[in-house]
Amino acid sequence: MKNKNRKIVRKPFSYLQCDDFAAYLSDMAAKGWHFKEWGAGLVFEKGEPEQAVYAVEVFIHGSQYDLKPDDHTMNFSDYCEAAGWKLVDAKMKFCIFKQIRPDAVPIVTEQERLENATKAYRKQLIWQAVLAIIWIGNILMLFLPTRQFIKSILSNANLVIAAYWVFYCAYTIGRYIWYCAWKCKAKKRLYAGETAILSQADETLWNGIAIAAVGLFTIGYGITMGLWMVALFLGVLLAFMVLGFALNKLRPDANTYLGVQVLFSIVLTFVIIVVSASIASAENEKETDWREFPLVYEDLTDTVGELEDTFHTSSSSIFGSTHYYSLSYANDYLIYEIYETEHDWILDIIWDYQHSYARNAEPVDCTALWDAQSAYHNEVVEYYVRYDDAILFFRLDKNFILTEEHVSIICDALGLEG
Amino acid sequence: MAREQLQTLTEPMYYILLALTEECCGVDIMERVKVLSHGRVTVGPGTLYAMLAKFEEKGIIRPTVFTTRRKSYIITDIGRKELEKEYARLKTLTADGAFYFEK
Repeated sequence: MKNKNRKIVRKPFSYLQCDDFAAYLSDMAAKGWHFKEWGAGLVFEKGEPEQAVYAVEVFIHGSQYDLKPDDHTMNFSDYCEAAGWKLVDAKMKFCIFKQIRPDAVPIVTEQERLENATKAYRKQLIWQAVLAIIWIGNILMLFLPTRQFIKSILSNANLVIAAYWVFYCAYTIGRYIWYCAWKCKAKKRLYAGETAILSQADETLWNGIAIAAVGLFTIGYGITMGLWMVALFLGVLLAFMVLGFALNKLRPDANTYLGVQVLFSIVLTFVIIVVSASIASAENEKETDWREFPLVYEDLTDTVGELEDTFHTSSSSIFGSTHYYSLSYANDYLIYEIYETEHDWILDIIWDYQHSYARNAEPVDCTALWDAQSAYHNEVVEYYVRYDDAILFFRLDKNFILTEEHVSIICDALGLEG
Repeated sequence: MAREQLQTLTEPMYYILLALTEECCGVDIMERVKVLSHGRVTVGPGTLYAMLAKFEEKGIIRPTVFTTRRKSYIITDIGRKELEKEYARLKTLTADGAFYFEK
């Protein structure tokens, strides 16, 4: 049954909004709603309207993982109480005080308040920046002309991830610039003798952008990977929300809170890996029906051993597609890989990479045989063939020499212009 | 806030150290500072808490009684030297000023 004398408000405030926070609590008290504690949100209890004065301070010795006042905070609250401020509740580095004496001395100076708040806020941003730096490294790796680049540029799923990484880095930089601009303005207001400096830091837009980006990323990734990925992502999100709700309700100490979060993250990562791997493997199994391969060894010769193993993988993106086929027989094998794209620069990168990969072997020009833009093979019978809009990598048993007839069959089967 | 190297002491710092020439509970320091400065200087509890932590870290004061909730402090020899240095500096300043203002 709903308790009419108690309400929970989920209203986020950052360390840069301590004065807005205090003003909000005073407004609520004037309406008869008195802040009681933190629970699943800000918990208010109904009472007589009161002109109460609150002070919201950033306690720099507090921990980001504190869900309730620890010994340090309680010790600090004794000092504050002696100065005319009673601690109502504390969470993270936030301490909420209510004025109990009209002659109460300000807890800290305005300059100290600004320093404490910016220090705590900057610490949060630093973690975000560390993650962004790691991701910048990942983006650079994606765009180096390696196999990873080929995988990324010709896979919509990887492009969505890369786009999100780029967004995250830009978002972090943007947010830091916003913070620096806010700090400059706050300092100006401080030197101008204004009070309530910790205000005018509305982050609704930033939070909105972050939520929209995660939503778009989920939809984009879901479209490219399948609905199961959206379900998995939403499942993880829900699990974290339930955990967050439970922890905020139970309010364990900082060590327990951190421990539970780490343990939960490890377990969840393990579950995600297992679920993703089994779904990807099941999907792969479906795709690896060799009867649907465009070309098998029997198309080129009659003397083929028993088929032992097959593998197929493919991906496509807005830039083109790639298909990899592998067939292992008792004594032979056949591997072919096709990259199709209308973008010359992508083909150039793939071609250079494949070329460098095969450089150690002695290349033999076979452009005429394939009627291609460029083609060569090496002594282990790996063929590298480039057409205007495709590259073919073809590898088979070293005793097998391709003739014009074979090439014609291959090109017809793979839809290459020979 | 406290100046980084404690080369000179701010007013609140000076009075906090003066207050701690006698053993004093952290919470009571605010009142003692007010008395010592004849009501002219008030130190906020947040400012005091941060300064005590800094002084303790630098070995300028030391805790005498230490329970979970209550801590008493007293100035150390290093702290006393800092305070004497500051007192001497302030005396020099007033003496120099006296040359012009008390002719």
